[in-house]
Amino acid sequence: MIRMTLLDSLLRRIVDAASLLLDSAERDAVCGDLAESGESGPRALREVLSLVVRRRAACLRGWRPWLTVAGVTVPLSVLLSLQSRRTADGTAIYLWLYVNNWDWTIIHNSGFWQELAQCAPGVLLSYLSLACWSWTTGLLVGFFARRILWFSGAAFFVVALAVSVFGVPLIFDHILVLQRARDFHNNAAVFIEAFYREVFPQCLQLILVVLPAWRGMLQGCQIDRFPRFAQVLLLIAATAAVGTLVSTNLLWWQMRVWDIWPLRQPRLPSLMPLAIAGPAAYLLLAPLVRRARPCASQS
Amino acid sequence: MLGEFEYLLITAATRLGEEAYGAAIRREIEDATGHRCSIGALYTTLDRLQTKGLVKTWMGEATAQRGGRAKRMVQVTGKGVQAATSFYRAVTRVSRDVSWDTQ
Repeated sequence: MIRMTLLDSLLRRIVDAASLLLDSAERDAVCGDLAESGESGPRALREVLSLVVRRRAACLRGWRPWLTVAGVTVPLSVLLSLQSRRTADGTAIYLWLYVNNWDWTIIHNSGFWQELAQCAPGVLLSYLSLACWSWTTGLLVGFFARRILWFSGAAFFVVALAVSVFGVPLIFDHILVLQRARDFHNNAAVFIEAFYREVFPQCLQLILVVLPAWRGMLQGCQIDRFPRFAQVLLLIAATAAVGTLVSTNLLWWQMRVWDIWPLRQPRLPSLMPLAIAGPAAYLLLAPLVRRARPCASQS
Repeated sequence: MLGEFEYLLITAATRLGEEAYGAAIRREIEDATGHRCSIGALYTTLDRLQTKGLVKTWMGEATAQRGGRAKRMVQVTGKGVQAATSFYRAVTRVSRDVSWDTQ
Protein backbone atom coordinates (compact mmCIF):
# COMPACT_ATOMS: atom_id res chain seq x y z
CA MET A 1 0.00 0.00 0.00
CA ILE A 2 2.76 2.38 0.99
CA ARG A 3 4.67 1.34 -2.10
CA MET A 4 1.63 2.17 -4.28
CA THR A 5 1.28 5.61 -2.68
CA LEU A 6 4.95 6.32 -3.22
CA LEU A 7 4.73 5.17 -6.83
CA ASP A 8 1.63 7.33 -7.42
CA SER A 9 3.33 10.31 -5.87
CA LEU A 10 6.42 9.74 -7.98
CA LEU A 11 4.37 9.35 -11.17
CA ARG A 12 2.39 12.50 -10.34
CA ARG A 13 5.66 14.39 -10.04
CA ILE A 14 6.84 12.97 -13.37
CA VAL A 15 3.54 13.98 -15.02
CA ASP A 16 3.91 17.50 -13.58
CA ALA A 17 7.48 17.67 -14.87
CA ALA A 18 6.47 16.37 -18.32
CA SER A 19 3.63 18.89 -18.52
CA LEU A 20 6.20 21.70 -18.13
CA LEU A 21 7.17 20.93 -21.73
CA LEU A 22 3.77 22.28 -22.82
CA ASP A 23 2.74 25.94 -23.14
CA SER A 24 1.35 27.31 -19.88
CA ALA A 25 -2.27 27.62 -21.17
CA GLU A 26 -2.19 24.14 -22.66
CA ARG A 27 -0.63 22.74 -19.49
CA ASP A 28 -3.54 24.17 -17.52
CA ALA A 29 -6.13 22.68 -19.86
CA VAL A 30 -4.47 19.25 -20.05
CA CYS A 31 -3.77 18.89 -16.32
CA GLY A 32 -7.32 20.07 -15.60
CA ASP A 33 -8.74 17.49 -18.02
CA LEU A 34 -6.68 14.75 -16.36
CA ALA A 35 -7.80 15.83 -12.89
CA GLU A 36 -11.45 15.99 -13.99
CA SER A 37 -11.39 12.54 -15.59
CA GLY A 38 -9.56 11.13 -12.56
CA GLU A 39 -6.70 9.82 -14.63
CA SER A 40 -3.43 9.43 -12.84
CA GLY A 41 -0.28 7.34 -12.87
CA PRO A 42 1.02 5.73 -16.05
CA ARG A 43 -2.06 6.57 -18.09
CA ALA A 44 -1.83 10.30 -17.28
CA LEU A 45 1.87 10.22 -18.10
CA ARG A 46 1.15 8.55 -21.43
CA GLU A 47 -1.48 11.18 -22.25
CA VAL A 48 0.83 14.09 -21.48
CA LEU A 49 3.78 12.55 -23.31
CA SER A 50 1.66 11.81 -26.37
CA LEU A 51 0.75 15.50 -26.60
CA VAL A 52 4.34 16.64 -25.97
CA VAL A 53 5.65 14.34 -28.71
CA ARG A 54 2.98 15.50 -31.17
CA ARG A 55 3.72 19.16 -30.42
CA ARG A 56 7.47 18.66 -30.85
CA ALA A 57 7.01 16.65 -34.04
CA ALA A 58 4.73 19.35 -35.48
CA CYS A 59 7.60 21.87 -35.20
CA LEU A 60 9.75 19.71 -37.48
CA ARG A 61 7.29 19.78 -40.38
CA GLY A 62 8.54 21.58 -43.48
CA TRP A 63 12.05 22.25 -44.74
CA ARG A 64 12.98 25.30 -42.64
CA PRO A 65 13.86 23.53 -39.36
CA TRP A 66 15.96 20.99 -41.22
CA LEU A 67 17.71 23.68 -43.25
CA THR A 68 18.52 25.60 -40.05
CA VAL A 69 19.96 22.52 -38.40
CA ALA A 70 21.89 21.39 -41.49
CA GLY A 71 23.04 24.86 -42.54
CA VAL A 72 23.77 26.55 -39.21
CA THR A 73 23.75 24.20 -36.23
CA VAL A 74 25.74 21.22 -37.51
CA PRO A 75 28.55 23.09 -39.35
CA LEU A 76 29.12 25.46 -36.43
CA SER A 77 29.06 22.58 -33.99
CA VAL A 78 31.70 20.72 -36.02
CA LEU A 79 33.85 23.82 -36.28
CA LEU A 80 33.61 24.61 -32.56
CA SER A 81 34.44 21.06 -31.60
CA LEU A 82 37.51 21.09 -33.87
CA GLN A 83 38.58 24.45 -32.51
CA SER A 84 38.14 23.11 -28.98
CA ARG A 85 40.35 20.11 -29.74
CA ARG A 86 43.04 22.32 -31.24
CA THR A 87 42.91 24.68 -28.26
CA ALA A 88 43.05 21.76 -25.83
CA ASP A 89 46.05 20.20 -27.58
CA GLY A 90 47.85 23.51 -27.90
CA THR A 91 47.47 24.43 -24.25
CA ALA A 92 48.03 20.88 -22.98
CA ILE A 93 51.73 21.33 -23.83
CA TYR A 94 52.06 24.30 -21.46
CA LEU A 95 50.05 22.51 -18.81
CA TRP A 96 52.25 19.43 -19.08
CA LEU A 97 55.36 21.61 -19.05
CA TYR A 98 54.43 23.35 -15.81
CA VAL A 99 52.38 20.74 -13.93
CA ASN A 100 54.10 17.44 -14.81
CA ASN A 101 57.61 18.87 -14.59
CA TRP A 102 57.09 21.11 -11.63
CA ASP A 103 60.09 21.86 -9.48
CA TRP A 104 59.90 24.48 -6.72
CA THR A 105 63.36 25.72 -7.53
CA ILE A 106 62.28 27.12 -10.91
CA ILE A 107 60.29 29.90 -9.28
CA HIS A 108 63.61 31.53 -8.49
CA ASN A 109 64.54 31.37 -12.13
CA SER A 110 63.85 34.61 -14.03
CA GLY A 111 63.58 32.66 -17.29
CA PHE A 112 60.56 30.80 -15.87
CA TRP A 113 58.68 34.02 -15.20
CA GLN A 114 59.65 35.42 -18.55
CA GLU A 115 58.38 32.30 -20.33
CA LEU A 116 55.20 32.27 -18.25
CA ALA A 117 54.53 35.92 -19.04
CA GLN A 118 54.91 35.11 -22.71
CA CYS A 119 52.65 32.05 -22.88
CA ALA A 120 49.94 32.82 -20.28
CA PRO A 121 48.23 35.65 -22.23
CA GLY A 122 48.10 33.46 -25.34
CA VAL A 123 46.55 30.56 -23.44
CA LEU A 124 44.01 32.80 -21.70
CA LEU A 125 43.15 34.51 -24.99
CA SER A 126 42.58 31.17 -26.70
CA TYR A 127 40.28 30.04 -23.84
CA LEU A 128 38.40 33.35 -23.84
CA SER A 129 38.00 33.24 -27.63
CA LEU A 130 36.69 29.68 -27.54
CA ALA A 131 34.14 30.51 -24.83
CA CYS A 132 33.05 33.64 -26.74
CA TRP A 133 32.70 31.73 -30.02
CA SER A 134 30.68 29.03 -28.27
CA TRP A 135 28.37 31.52 -26.60
CA THR A 136 27.91 33.47 -29.86
CA THR A 137 27.22 30.29 -31.82
CA GLY A 138 24.64 29.31 -29.19
CA LEU A 139 23.07 32.76 -29.49
CA LEU A 140 22.68 32.40 -33.27
CA VAL A 141 21.33 28.86 -32.97
CA GLY A 142 18.87 30.00 -30.27
CA PHE A 143 17.73 32.91 -32.42
CA PHE A 144 17.33 31.09 -35.72
CA ALA A 145 15.94 27.86 -34.26
CA ARG A 146 14.09 29.00 -31.14
CA ARG A 147 10.94 27.03 -32.00
CA ILE A 148 12.96 23.84 -32.31
CA LEU A 149 15.60 24.63 -29.72
CA TRP A 150 15.23 21.17 -28.12
CA PHE A 151 16.02 19.56 -31.48
CA SER A 152 18.63 22.04 -32.65
CA GLY A 153 20.32 22.06 -29.23
CA ALA A 154 20.41 18.27 -29.13
CA ALA A 155 21.85 18.15 -32.67
CA PHE A 156 24.50 20.71 -31.66
CA PHE A 157 25.66 18.78 -28.61
CA VAL A 158 25.47 15.32 -30.19
CA VAL A 159 27.50 16.48 -33.22
CA ALA A 160 30.05 18.23 -30.98
CA LEU A 161 30.43 15.07 -28.91
CA ALA A 162 30.68 12.85 -32.00
CA VAL A 163 33.37 15.07 -33.57
CA SER A 164 35.23 15.16 -30.30
CA VAL A 165 35.20 11.36 -29.96
CA PHE A 166 35.42 10.15 -33.56
CA GLY A 167 36.99 13.14 -35.37
CA VAL A 168 36.08 14.27 -38.91
CA PRO A 169 36.76 12.83 -42.39
CA LEU A 170 40.17 13.64 -43.87
CA ILE A 171 38.58 15.62 -46.70
CA PHE A 172 38.20 18.51 -44.26
CA ASP A 173 42.00 18.87 -44.35
CA HIS A 174 41.68 20.48 -47.77
CA ILE A 175 39.47 23.26 -46.45
CA LEU A 176 40.42 23.63 -42.81
CA VAL A 177 43.67 23.49 -40.96
CA LEU A 178 43.05 20.62 -38.62
CA GLN A 179 46.56 19.78 -37.55
CA ARG A 180 46.87 19.64 -33.81
CA ALA A 181 49.79 19.65 -31.45
CA ARG A 182 49.47 15.89 -30.99
CA ASP A 183 50.22 15.37 -34.70
CA PHE A 184 53.84 16.46 -34.15
CA HIS A 185 56.13 13.78 -32.77
CA ASN A 186 58.05 16.36 -30.70
CA ASN A 187 55.01 16.55 -28.43
CA ALA A 188 54.71 12.79 -27.95
CA ALA A 189 55.72 12.99 -24.28
CA VAL A 190 52.63 15.11 -23.57
CA PHE A 191 50.09 13.08 -25.47
CA ILE A 192 51.32 9.71 -24.33
CA GLU A 193 49.46 10.54 -21.13
CA ALA A 194 45.78 9.58 -21.30
CA PHE A 195 44.78 12.69 -19.36
CA TYR A 196 46.12 15.12 -22.00
CA ARG A 197 45.07 12.87 -24.87
CA GLU A 198 41.50 12.05 -23.83
CA VAL A 199 40.31 13.66 -20.59
CA PHE A 200 41.59 17.23 -20.88
CA PRO A 201 40.04 17.90 -24.35
CA GLN A 202 36.66 16.62 -23.14
CA CYS A 203 36.81 18.74 -19.98
CA LEU A 204 37.73 21.81 -22.02
CA GLN A 205 34.90 21.13 -24.46
CA LEU A 206 32.43 20.83 -21.60
CA ILE A 207 33.55 24.04 -19.90
CA LEU A 208 34.35 26.24 -22.89
CA VAL A 209 31.93 24.93 -25.54
CA VAL A 210 28.93 23.11 -24.07
CA LEU A 211 28.15 25.40 -21.14
CA PRO A 212 28.64 28.77 -22.94
CA ALA A 213 26.77 27.49 -26.02
CA TRP A 214 23.83 26.35 -23.87
CA ARG A 215 23.73 29.73 -22.13
CA GLY A 216 23.90 31.47 -25.51
CA MET A 217 21.03 29.35 -26.87
CA LEU A 218 18.78 30.32 -23.96
CA GLN A 219 19.64 34.00 -24.43
CA GLY A 220 19.26 33.71 -28.20
CA CYS A 221 15.63 32.63 -27.73
CA GLN A 222 14.96 35.98 -26.08
CA ILE A 223 16.54 38.34 -28.61
CA ASP A 224 12.99 39.36 -29.54
CA ARG A 225 12.93 41.37 -26.32
CA PHE A 226 15.55 43.73 -27.71
CA PRO A 227 14.47 46.81 -29.71
CA ARG A 228 14.64 46.16 -33.46
CA PHE A 229 17.83 48.18 -34.13
CA ALA A 230 19.55 46.44 -31.19
CA GLN A 231 18.56 43.06 -32.63
CA VAL A 232 20.13 43.99 -35.96
CA LEU A 233 23.33 45.26 -34.31
CA LEU A 234 23.57 42.17 -32.13
CA LEU A 235 23.09 39.81 -35.06
CA ILE A 236 25.69 41.67 -37.14
CA ALA A 237 28.21 41.46 -34.28
CA ALA A 238 27.41 37.78 -33.66
CA THR A 239 27.71 36.93 -37.34
CA ALA A 240 31.04 38.78 -37.54
CA ALA A 241 32.32 36.90 -34.49
CA VAL A 242 31.27 33.54 -35.90
CA GLY A 243 32.78 34.62 -39.23
CA THR A 244 36.15 34.91 -37.49
CA LEU A 245 35.72 31.36 -36.17
CA VAL A 246 35.22 30.13 -39.71
CA SER A 247 38.01 32.15 -41.34
CA THR A 248 40.58 31.61 -38.63
CA ASN A 249 40.51 27.91 -39.45
CA LEU A 250 40.72 28.31 -43.20
CA LEU A 251 43.96 27.19 -44.78
CA TRP A 252 44.78 30.50 -46.49
CA TRP A 253 44.37 32.47 -43.27
CA GLN A 254 46.53 30.09 -41.28
CA MET A 255 49.23 30.30 -43.95
CA ARG A 256 49.27 34.06 -43.63
CA VAL A 257 49.17 34.08 -39.85
CA TRP A 258 52.08 31.67 -39.64
CA ASP A 259 53.94 33.29 -42.50
CA ILE A 260 54.10 30.06 -44.48
CA TRP A 261 55.60 29.99 -47.96
CA PRO A 262 54.59 31.06 -50.62
CA LEU A 263 52.39 33.68 -49.00
CA ARG A 264 55.01 35.39 -46.89
CA GLN A 265 53.44 38.84 -47.28
CA PRO A 266 51.33 40.33 -45.90
CA ARG A 267 51.46 38.67 -42.51
CA LEU A 268 48.01 38.91 -40.91
CA PRO A 269 47.09 39.08 -37.25
CA SER A 270 45.18 36.32 -35.47
CA LEU A 271 41.42 36.80 -35.59
CA MET A 272 40.94 35.49 -32.07
CA PRO A 273 40.42 38.87 -30.35
CA LEU A 274 37.45 39.54 -32.66
CA ALA A 275 35.66 36.57 -31.09
CA ILE A 276 34.67 38.86 -28.25
CA ALA A 277 32.47 40.97 -30.59
CA GLY A 278 29.31 38.91 -29.93
CA PRO A 279 29.35 38.91 -26.12
CA ALA A 280 30.55 42.54 -26.06
CA ALA A 281 27.63 43.65 -28.23
CA TYR A 282 25.22 41.71 -26.01
CA LEU A 283 26.59 43.28 -22.83
CA LEU A 284 26.41 46.75 -24.35
CA LEU A 285 22.87 46.31 -25.67
CA ALA A 286 21.39 44.36 -22.75
CA PRO A 287 20.56 47.52 -20.72
CA LEU A 288 18.23 48.58 -23.55
CA VAL A 289 16.00 45.59 -22.82
CA ARG A 290 15.80 46.36 -19.14
CA ARG A 291 14.96 50.00 -19.88
CA ALA A 292 12.38 49.13 -22.55
CA ARG A 293 10.42 46.74 -20.32
CA PRO A 294 8.62 49.24 -18.01
CA CYS A 295 7.62 51.36 -21.05
CA ALA A 296 6.12 48.29 -22.76
CA SER A 297 4.12 47.39 -19.67
CA GLN A 298 2.85 50.97 -19.29
CA SER A 299 1.64 51.08 -22.86
CA MET B 1 -13.04 17.53 -46.72
CA LEU B 2 -12.84 16.72 -43.01
CA GLY B 3 -11.10 13.70 -41.59
CA GLU B 4 -13.18 11.25 -39.57
CA PHE B 5 -11.70 12.33 -36.22
CA GLU B 6 -12.21 15.98 -37.13
CA TYR B 7 -15.83 15.19 -37.87
CA LEU B 8 -16.25 13.39 -34.55
CA LEU B 9 -14.73 16.32 -32.70
CA ILE B 10 -16.89 18.95 -34.42
CA THR B 11 -20.03 16.86 -33.88
CA ALA B 12 -19.25 16.32 -30.19
CA ALA B 13 -18.55 20.03 -29.70
CA THR B 14 -21.78 20.94 -31.47
CA ARG B 15 -23.77 18.53 -29.30
CA LEU B 16 -22.20 19.94 -26.10
CA GLY B 17 -22.88 23.54 -27.15
CA GLU B 18 -21.71 26.00 -24.48
CA GLU B 19 -20.36 23.14 -22.39
CA ALA B 20 -17.87 22.08 -25.03
CA TYR B 21 -14.34 21.88 -23.68
CA GLY B 22 -11.43 19.38 -23.82
CA ALA B 23 -12.45 16.77 -21.23
CA ALA B 24 -16.18 16.90 -22.12
CA ILE B 25 -15.50 16.45 -25.84
CA ARG B 26 -13.16 13.58 -25.07
CA ARG B 27 -15.84 11.82 -22.97
CA GLU B 28 -18.42 12.38 -25.70
CA ILE B 29 -16.15 10.84 -28.37
CA GLU B 30 -15.21 7.88 -26.17
CA ASP B 31 -18.90 7.20 -25.34
CA ALA B 32 -19.90 7.39 -29.01
CA THR B 33 -17.09 5.30 -30.47
CA GLY B 34 -16.28 2.98 -27.60
CA HIS B 35 -12.59 3.70 -28.18
CA ARG B 36 -10.11 5.68 -26.14
CA CYS B 37 -9.47 9.22 -27.30
CA SER B 38 -5.97 10.46 -26.45
CA ILE B 39 -5.44 13.99 -25.23
CA GLY B 40 -2.62 14.36 -27.75
CA ALA B 41 -4.91 13.58 -30.67
CA LEU B 42 -7.68 15.79 -29.28
CA TYR B 43 -5.61 18.92 -28.77
CA THR B 44 -3.57 18.67 -31.96
CA THR B 45 -6.79 18.15 -33.96
CA LEU B 46 -8.38 21.11 -32.19
CA ASP B 47 -5.41 23.27 -33.23
CA ARG B 48 -5.72 22.08 -36.82
CA LEU B 49 -9.44 22.84 -36.89
CA GLN B 50 -8.80 26.26 -35.38
CA THR B 51 -6.18 27.01 -38.05
CA LYS B 52 -8.72 26.06 -40.72
CA GLY B 53 -11.26 28.37 -39.06
CA LEU B 54 -13.68 25.53 -38.29
CA VAL B 55 -13.67 26.03 -34.51
CA LYS B 56 -12.87 28.83 -32.09
CA THR B 57 -11.17 28.10 -28.75
CA TRP B 58 -10.41 30.17 -25.65
CA MET B 59 -9.42 29.55 -22.05
CA GLY B 60 -12.42 29.35 -19.74
CA GLU B 61 -12.81 29.52 -15.99
CA ALA B 62 -11.03 27.31 -13.47
CA THR B 63 -13.02 24.95 -11.26
CA ALA B 64 -12.22 23.11 -8.02
CA GLN B 65 -13.14 19.81 -9.70
CA ARG B 66 -10.23 20.40 -12.07
CA GLY B 67 -7.77 21.28 -9.33
CA GLY B 68 -8.12 24.99 -10.05
CA ARG B 69 -7.13 24.59 -13.70
CA ALA B 70 -8.78 26.44 -16.58
CA LYS B 71 -10.76 24.72 -19.37
CA ARG B 72 -10.08 25.11 -23.07
CA MET B 73 -13.53 26.00 -24.35
CA VAL B 74 -14.54 25.16 -27.93
CA GLN B 75 -17.13 26.68 -30.25
CA VAL B 76 -17.87 25.42 -33.75
CA THR B 77 -17.92 28.24 -36.33
CA GLY B 78 -20.33 28.55 -39.26
CA LYS B 79 -17.60 27.24 -41.53
CA GLY B 80 -17.19 24.25 -39.20
CA VAL B 81 -20.92 23.48 -39.36
CA GLN B 82 -20.76 23.64 -43.17
CA ALA B 83 -17.75 21.30 -43.31
CA ALA B 84 -19.40 18.78 -40.94
CA THR B 85 -22.65 18.91 -42.92
CA SER B 86 -20.77 18.31 -46.14
CA PHE B 87 -18.90 15.35 -44.59
CA TYR B 88 -22.14 13.86 -43.21
CA ARG B 89 -23.85 14.17 -46.59
CA ALA B 90 -20.94 12.51 -48.33
CA VAL B 91 -21.00 9.59 -45.86
CA THR B 92 -24.78 9.29 -46.22
CA ARG B 93 -24.57 9.34 -50.03
CA VAL B 94 -21.79 6.80 -50.23
CA SER B 95 -23.63 4.53 -47.77
CA ARG B 96 -26.86 4.53 -49.78
CA ASP B 97 -28.10 1.02 -50.58
CA VAL B 98 -25.46 -0.49 -48.29
CA SER B 99 -26.78 -2.18 -45.19
CA TRP B 100 -24.01 -2.93 -42.70
CA ASP B 101 -26.44 -4.51 -40.24
CA THR B 102 -26.95 -7.60 -42.42
CA GLN B 103 -23.25 -8.23 -43.09
